[in-house]
Amino acid sequence: MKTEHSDATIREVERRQRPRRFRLPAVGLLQAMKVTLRAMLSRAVTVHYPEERIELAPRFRGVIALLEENCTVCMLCSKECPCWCIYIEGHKEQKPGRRKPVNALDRFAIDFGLCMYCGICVEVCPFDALHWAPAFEYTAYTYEGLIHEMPVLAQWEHHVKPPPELVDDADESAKQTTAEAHRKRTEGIHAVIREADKKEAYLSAQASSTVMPAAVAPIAQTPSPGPVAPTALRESSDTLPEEAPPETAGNLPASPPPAPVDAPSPQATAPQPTATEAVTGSGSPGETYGLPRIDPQQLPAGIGPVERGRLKKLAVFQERGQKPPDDLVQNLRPILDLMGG
Amino acid sequence: MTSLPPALQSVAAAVLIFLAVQPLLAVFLYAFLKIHSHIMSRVGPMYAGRFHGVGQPIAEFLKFAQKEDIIPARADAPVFRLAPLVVLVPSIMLFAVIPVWPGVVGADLDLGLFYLLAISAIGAIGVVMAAASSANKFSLVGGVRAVGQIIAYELPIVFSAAVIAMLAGSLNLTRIVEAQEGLWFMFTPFGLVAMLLFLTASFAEVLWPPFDMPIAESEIIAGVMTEYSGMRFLFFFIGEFAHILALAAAMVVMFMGGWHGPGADLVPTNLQWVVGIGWFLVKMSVLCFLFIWVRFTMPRMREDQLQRFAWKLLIPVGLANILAVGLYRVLT
Repeated sequence: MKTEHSDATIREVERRQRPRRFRLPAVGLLQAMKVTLRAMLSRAVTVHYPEERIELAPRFRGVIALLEENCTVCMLCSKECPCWCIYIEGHKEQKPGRRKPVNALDRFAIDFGLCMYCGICVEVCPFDALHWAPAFEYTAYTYEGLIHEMPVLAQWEHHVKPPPELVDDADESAKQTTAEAHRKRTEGIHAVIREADKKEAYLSAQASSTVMPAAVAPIAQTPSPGPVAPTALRESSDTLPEEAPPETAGNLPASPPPAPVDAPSPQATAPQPTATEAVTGSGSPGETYGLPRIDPQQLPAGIGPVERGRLKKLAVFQERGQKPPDDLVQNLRPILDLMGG
Repeated sequence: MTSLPPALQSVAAAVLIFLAVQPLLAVFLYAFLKIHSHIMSRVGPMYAGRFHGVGQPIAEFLKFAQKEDIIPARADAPVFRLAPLVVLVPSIMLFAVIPVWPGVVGADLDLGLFYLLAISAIGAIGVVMAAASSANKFSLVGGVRAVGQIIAYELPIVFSAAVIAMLAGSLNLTRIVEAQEGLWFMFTPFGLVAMLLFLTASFAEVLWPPFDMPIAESEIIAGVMTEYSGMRFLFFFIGEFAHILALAAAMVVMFMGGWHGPGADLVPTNLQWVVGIGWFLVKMSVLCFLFIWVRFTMPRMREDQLQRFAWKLLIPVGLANILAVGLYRVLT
């Protein structure tokens, strides 16, 4: 296809391409001097780091955090890790209401001295157990100090921020994509809930008609995250010390013991809130801060493991009457809306 | 001072000048670091000395003082040791003839201008000594470049000085300042051309960017300074900075009217020297700022560009300027 150009356009282009006949010498040098002078007189961009801090992007890739409840010990992250810096130990465990034994996580550690921050583990995790967290100040004086265990990784999980809102003048298509993704996610939750309701009904019908296996105990009697049944499935007794509750694992900064509750704590696997979070709220027990009350034993059936873990976390906050972190609430917003209405 | 024997007077003057130059150097180094940083939109030193890094010049000195003084095994040790001093000492010696106020001068020589040019060129010998004694090919290349450059740019400086001598009718620097009482030489056409030549050539004379081909760190690894470390390396730097300061002071004397400036007659006669020396320092600061500003703006010139610029532009213009001022003096 031939583009038509008027003579005037061509003349204009030629005029611009022709070197100017006369140019004052050293004009370019003076322009350069103007640029540097302006830079010198304008305010320096330096952020005086220890005293000042920049606001990190919500998806800043500072450290890899672990949402323990979501981990199924599938080892995909560990296998995909190019640096082999993820250590996972677990055992099989019989869970009430489940016909097959499930994996229980005993140890999850990342050696950040080896990690190259490629994020492949975060990408491959099928259950959203690993996330990028914005923390970046975790230097240590020894190589061992860079190996971080579950409690620390779980604590970083609380720093994961919700995704940023789209700016008002964002691209229309981007807005549409986001809205579509949000709609699908909400629809998917509905579908899964319907599906799970059916399954639940089926299972309860089964349970009432047949004899429950002796090894499967009702949920309320589960005393601890320890193995309930077939101990033979456990890999070795070496994993025993690893079953210590997270707060005994030394490198967590002074985490207060969980507040005593009347009912047997049903979610011993839920993460212990960190010291920073413990002081954020001091309301009376039972205060829900305008959110629907969460019963950890009767979570809406069929929701995904991420949401299940977050709801359990929210339940802990509600039980203690503490204000849940905003990002937690924001992440749960679709489900809470469903439950509320 | 007049009661002392002449020899002791000279020693006292030398010590006084040496001591007076030190705070100037410290202030210049601090300004250098700060202006440099702010041009790059950084803040520069902020911690040493508590307030905005004012202690940084001392910290820099102490840092270099702690470093090991390494002499390469193949180096010509005595020459290698002496070279930094040959660069440093003449730079400070230049201040001896700079008059900051009538009578406030280390040595009021009748050949002051000549002394200035002669001593200023000695630094080149130190550079050559360092280059030849380092037993290092980078140093040698740097030395060869430095010699070529200093020879080329010494000529515009001499021509500019000749113009000033013709305008003032004297080689005595105090006399030159007094000749500018009404009109600074930089405001006469000949003086302006001479000053621009002198300014440009000064950059090359102290191997200061954009004429720092002999010490191009990205190409020949600091050239003559490749093998130097610790205090001897610092001597090169102090020499460079002192040379810049001395040339700025010389330019103030030769082109910018020295201590002359408005406001001196507003204060009592016995305090006029404060205003005069104040003006001198202000003019020097302006020139020093210009040196730093240009240093962190201009890219380095290539060796052939650098030589062509001197021989094809600066030297012909300098010669024409002498011719013009000669005709002017004869005809008027």
